[in-house]
Amino acid sequence: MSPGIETQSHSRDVFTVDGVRRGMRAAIPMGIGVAVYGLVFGLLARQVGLTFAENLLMNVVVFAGAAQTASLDFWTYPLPILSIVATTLLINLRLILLGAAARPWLRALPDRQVYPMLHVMADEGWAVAMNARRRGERDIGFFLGANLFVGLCWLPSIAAGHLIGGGVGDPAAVGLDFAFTTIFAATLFNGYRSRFDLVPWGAAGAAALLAWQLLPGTWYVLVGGITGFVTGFAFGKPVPASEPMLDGADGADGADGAT
Amino acid sequence: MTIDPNALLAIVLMAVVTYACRAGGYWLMGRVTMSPRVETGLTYLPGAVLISLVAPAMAEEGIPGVCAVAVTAIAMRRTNNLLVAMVAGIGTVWLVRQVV
Repeated sequence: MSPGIETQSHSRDVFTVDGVRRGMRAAIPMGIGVAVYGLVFGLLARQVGLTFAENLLMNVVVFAGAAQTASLDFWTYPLPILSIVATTLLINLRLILLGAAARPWLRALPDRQVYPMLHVMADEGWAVAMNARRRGERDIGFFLGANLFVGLCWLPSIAAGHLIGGGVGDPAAVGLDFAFTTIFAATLFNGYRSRFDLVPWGAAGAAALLAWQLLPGTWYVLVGGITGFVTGFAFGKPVPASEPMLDGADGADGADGAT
Repeated sequence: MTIDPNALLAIVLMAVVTYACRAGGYWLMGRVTMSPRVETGLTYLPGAVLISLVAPAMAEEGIPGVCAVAVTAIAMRRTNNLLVAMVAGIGTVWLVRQVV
């Protein structure tokens, strides 16, 4: 599963097993949130009629919780395959942004290792890894470890949810439906580096809210992401590759950084 | 352990378009020469995607959502611990929902 354990030295970005371990450890809180969500998905999928084998297969080969959840809305027999696939594509367009943002880091590895690795890239693990990179992490193993760990939390919880098939209370009753929002918010704040961050983030947030009001589906993620990128591109101060991206690795006082 | 042929077809096609998105962005950025400005822009992408996920969810939830995100921010700043911040946020949304 792991794409070879060799260290590339033509860049400061390396791949080590230790990095994989660190990535996995860093993804533990996210993994817990994912497991809760997975339990719910496993249950829902069973309710709309997926067999255990279909459910597991979908989660191994598609592995995109948000899109899968949306597809379950259409999952009535005979299956409207076109609607299911189109919805999946629309919701997963944001993964294009994730891969693009990961390129400057992952490109130190050969394509034959990166492309298999990209299959396990999902929002949660990616967020943990990219956040660590903002704080100076260089090990590509960390990227793989964080994403892999999220996948390893997801699959058993899907299976468990399917097998339990009921009897799990309403997650909303204890606020668990808000778990992802809080963990994404925590990750966002954790990546705070300098006052300038608030400019692209603010622009992205405003654009996302606007798009959420005006556009159907989940276009708002794409609109917000692209707005943040363009704002950072236009007004951000380029970081020379030779310098660490972060002053003070703890980030507690990151506010006096690059402003 | 049965798999319906139509379900299999749907799942395979879902997998194809999903992997195309995962690999597509990475591939695309390899086709263009990345200037330092583009790389700088890309470093803001994770935060931009995160806030784009958070802001509408918070707005939809209303007051409990705003409180939960604020508590999450404070907890994160104080403890620097993702798990603590998550639990604090979930607890807040649950608590405020009882009141509002």
